[in-house]
Amino acid sequence: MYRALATLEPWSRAKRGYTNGFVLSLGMLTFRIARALISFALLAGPLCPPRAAAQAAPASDESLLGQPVAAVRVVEAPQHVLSENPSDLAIAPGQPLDRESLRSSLRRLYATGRYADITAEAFSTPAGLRIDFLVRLNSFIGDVRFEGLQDPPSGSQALGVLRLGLGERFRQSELDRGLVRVNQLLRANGFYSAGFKPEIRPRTGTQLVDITIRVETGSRARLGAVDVSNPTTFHSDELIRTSRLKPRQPLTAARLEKGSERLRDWLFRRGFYAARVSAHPGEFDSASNTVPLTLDVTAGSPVSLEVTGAKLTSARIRQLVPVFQEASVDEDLLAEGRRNIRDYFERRGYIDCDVQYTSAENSGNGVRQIIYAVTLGPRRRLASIEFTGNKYFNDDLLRSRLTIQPAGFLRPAVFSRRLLQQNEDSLRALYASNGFAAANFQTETVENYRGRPDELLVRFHIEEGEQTRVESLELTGNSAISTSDLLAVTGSTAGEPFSDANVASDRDNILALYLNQGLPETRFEFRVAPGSQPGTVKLAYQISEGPRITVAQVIVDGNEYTRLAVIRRRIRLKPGEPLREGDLILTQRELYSLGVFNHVAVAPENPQGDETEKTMLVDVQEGKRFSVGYGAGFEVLPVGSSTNPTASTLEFSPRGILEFTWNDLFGRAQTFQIRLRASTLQDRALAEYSTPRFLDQRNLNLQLIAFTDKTLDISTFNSTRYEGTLQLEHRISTVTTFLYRYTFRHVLATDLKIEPQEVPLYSQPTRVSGPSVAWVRDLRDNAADPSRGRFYTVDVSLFSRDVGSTANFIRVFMQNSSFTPLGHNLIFARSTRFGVETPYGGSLSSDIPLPERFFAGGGTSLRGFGLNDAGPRDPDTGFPVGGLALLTFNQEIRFPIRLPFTTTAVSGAFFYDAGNVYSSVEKITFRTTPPPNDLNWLSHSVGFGIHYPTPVGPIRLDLGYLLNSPQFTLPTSPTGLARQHPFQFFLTFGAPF
Amino acid sequence: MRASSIRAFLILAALAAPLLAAAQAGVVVDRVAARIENDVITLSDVRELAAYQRLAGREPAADSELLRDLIDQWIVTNDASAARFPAPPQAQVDAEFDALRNQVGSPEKFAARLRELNLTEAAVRRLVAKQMFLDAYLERKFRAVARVQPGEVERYYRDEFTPQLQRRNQPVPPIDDVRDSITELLLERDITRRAQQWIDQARAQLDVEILPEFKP
Repeated sequence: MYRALATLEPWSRAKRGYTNGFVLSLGMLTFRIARALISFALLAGPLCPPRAAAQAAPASDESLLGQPVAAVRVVEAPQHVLSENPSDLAIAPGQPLDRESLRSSLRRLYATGRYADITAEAFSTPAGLRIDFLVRLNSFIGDVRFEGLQDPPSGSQALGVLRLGLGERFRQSELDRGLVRVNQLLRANGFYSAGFKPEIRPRTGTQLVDITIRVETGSRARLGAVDVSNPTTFHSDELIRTSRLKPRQPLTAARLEKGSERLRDWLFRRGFYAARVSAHPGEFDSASNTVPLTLDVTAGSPVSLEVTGAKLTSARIRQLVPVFQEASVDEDLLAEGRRNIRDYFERRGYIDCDVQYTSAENSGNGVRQIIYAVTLGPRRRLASIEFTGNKYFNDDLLRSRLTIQPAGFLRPAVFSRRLLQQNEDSLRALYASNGFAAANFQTETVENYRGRPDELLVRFHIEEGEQTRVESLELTGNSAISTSDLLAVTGSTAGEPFSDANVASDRDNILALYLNQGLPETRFEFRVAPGSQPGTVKLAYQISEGPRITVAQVIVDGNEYTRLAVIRRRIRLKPGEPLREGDLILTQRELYSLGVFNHVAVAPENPQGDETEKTMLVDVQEGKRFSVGYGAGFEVLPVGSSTNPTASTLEFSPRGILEFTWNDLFGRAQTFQIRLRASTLQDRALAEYSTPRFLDQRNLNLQLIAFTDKTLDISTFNSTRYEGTLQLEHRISTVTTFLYRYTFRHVLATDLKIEPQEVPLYSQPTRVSGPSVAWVRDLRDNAADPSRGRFYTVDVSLFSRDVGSTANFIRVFMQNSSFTPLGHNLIFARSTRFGVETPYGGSLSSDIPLPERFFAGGGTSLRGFGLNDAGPRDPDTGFPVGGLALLTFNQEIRFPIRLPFTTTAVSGAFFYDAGNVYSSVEKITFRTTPPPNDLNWLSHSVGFGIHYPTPVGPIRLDLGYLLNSPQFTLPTSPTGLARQHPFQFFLTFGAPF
Repeated sequence: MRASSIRAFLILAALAAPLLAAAQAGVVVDRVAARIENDVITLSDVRELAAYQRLAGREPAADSELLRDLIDQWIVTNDASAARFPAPPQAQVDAEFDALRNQVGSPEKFAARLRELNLTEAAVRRLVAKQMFLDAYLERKFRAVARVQPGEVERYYRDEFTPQLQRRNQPVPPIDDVRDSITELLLERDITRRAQQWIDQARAQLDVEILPEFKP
């Protein structure tokens, strides 16, 4: 270690000014220079004898330095010339050979990332020296997979610890290190004798290598004796039993972790909040293939935690006091618990709540007792919020930024000191981002508001101060992207407020724009200078663009069944074009959307190299081509009675589902699926074939569906349906779609409740066949449970005898829905539906098949009626017969409901539904009381619903009341009349409209 | 006659072949000596360091040792650059360069020596500046944490300082007279130790590959 710089000895001595003794200064010198030599080695000093120079490295001829260079080549050994006189090297023809340019050129070539080794050789030629850079090409990682693994661990886990990234430089040392990690993973999962056979296959024509690691795992070890290091008062056997870890169980990392967690939770429930448990396998016994296990338990002191002065459930205490989550008891966590408990009660109206805690160890039993003493004080509520001094922002805007809120309709007040502080910070940030850097805020809490002792007013006093605006913005350094394009994403333009936050936002937007133009190394700097006017600044953005990265080529790998053309059509990256981040992400997304790949990786080859043309690698992992799904459940449906036209019954039915799916048919990402569903209420069998990107068009998807369905859903008859549909989905934009369909439907209506001689056509089997077009424009934020946006659809169907239909008729259906937030978490949702059917070409209205008519009533249309109960009825039997026109209006106000355990997840809705099904479009009327023999009238229903959201849509319980329930003719009734039952309730899954 | 011409040609060809082969063979003028992360240390780096050592009037260390030192240098440079440590002022660099030149001899002698060693003045200035930069960085990084343990001054005075002076028949000053100097020396020793430890740890974590020809 002691290497001295004797050369600089006079300098060092003079610098240090040592005068007392050669040894001291020499010793000082030694260490001073030894340190210097750690940074810059020179030669051994007097304390270390000089070493003879050993020339182990190959000799280089420096006598050539200074001679003129005639040519420069880059050559892949032995004689494959890759380039001649490359312009980006420091060494160039016509210049003398010098060490500096040689070194710089070597570094330049290495920095491209393409070469693993480079040697510069000089050849004498009549014209001068020819410098050949002999290179050995790097290899880059292509497809990596494991064979022979036994789950656990899974292939993806093993790949994760192997850490060989797609496109990165391949180094044997990295593979070796990765295999060590994989071996550790295997040992953690019981494979102590695993062997690896990595096979590295260069891919012809590329610099890629594909790596297959064949693993011979051997048998998974089992647990041997299980022991515990037990500092607790509990019996060791009890601890082991609690962990449920037993001898002879297969050893997996997940099992050990689960067992440790079980034991820790058990100790936790007994007050050992700082307990830690870890499982340590011992020495592997190859003879018995077992591993003994020791559970290391660190229990800490038992803790009892109590809250006095207020009621809190244990679950709530665990949520508020972080000692439980952190598994530790320290002052910081206890103090945080105090703040959380106070905040909890403040939010519930105990604004003067005070919480103190004590923590002391009971010398008798060793238990640490923590007591949170809560003094609630009187319960008060925030009644109002006021702002003073604000000119730039109005009260409504400021109020919308607050989380504290006064009490409202079915909505309690939300207030706490912590929230108040957060809101003050939020307002301060709002003003700062709008140029008011010096805005001052003070909050005042006024008690006994309006003379009421339980009411509070919070008043924000705002001193806005001077606003700083941008006088001018100068953009320099940009050439790849025009100034106007950059200004389009910049907020800090002339006249706009100035703030650091806005500049940061501009920076992010500008860099994102450059990143998406293949310029990832762009740098952004800014300068601020006082403007010529008071309260203004001059802003200057300096852009340093860096080189543009373009796509050289795209290499696809990993597909065994899927056709290459199918994959290539979804790749957005194009050779010659800039490497855009957006294209990379879209490519990945589109390949995933095919539904045939488990994993899609898109990465550049040689990411660390500074080349400006990158080969892009697309590596896919195909999923299972065949899958089977099954499930069971039950359904509940209110169904009209088959004997009483005014009654309905709840029908319960178990349901079973079976699905077979073939993915990636013919390697074209096409799908064929068979779905079978059976219950006592409905049987269905469906076969579906779909192909994405029909006719090679990105926005065209084709589906062919055939199904048969037997349903008891209309009380007039049972329906058996056979249907085939050919559908072409044409996506015009992300929100607009056209659906072109051809439908063939054969419906059998059986168990008729209508007299056949009066309606003869209804007793015959019917067929409908014809094309239809639907236009859909969906602007909702969430199709399953929308809270804002609009939805439009128009569907036109034409059924003709010429193509097999039993009647000629046209059906038009339109729907428009909107969802409007009203503030304070209220949403106004409405929907209007209109439909009309009309016969043509010699067909009569009575020719239109019963099942093809409009029906309404139920949880997703008119909630004052049972399922399909609205509209005209058969005069003899009283059962609904549907109609040829439909007009419905649905309105509801949705609001959050605060309930225990659900906070505000549950919402309620008051609704008003109006409308009906009409015999024909001419019969549409707004009269509210029809005569008994003409049920064309406008119904009005009101009701209340409770909704609970789920990730795929809300579960709803709706109670509807039909305000103007009509009477209708029913010969079998004693009075000859019957009345629609006014109350209905529905348990439904999904949004109402 | 014809046969003799052919024989002569063959003899000439046999004689000329090695010469021709020698003319075709390239001379290695530079190559990669070690790879460290995404950078390389070249043979010319090693040669330059060896030349600098000769300029200082010493025989250079072995190539493998020089290469190791250059790797250490790379580690410190990388850390200093990441910390945006400032370069030394040009005036100080000039002063140190002048001191080195004066050590070698007259300006003409210095220039001749540079030519002999294939060094340029710019390269030497660069090397001096770099050394100052790294030295100052290590000082900044480790001076604050360097410590002299209790009793260490006395131990050094007793076990190293006094015996060395006695061997040279020089008078041994009282410990209190040299306490400050010894303390500074021991601090420097601690800085060196910490720096080396840090470098060793950093080296273990980096992706460093020395080509076989340059391994000891």
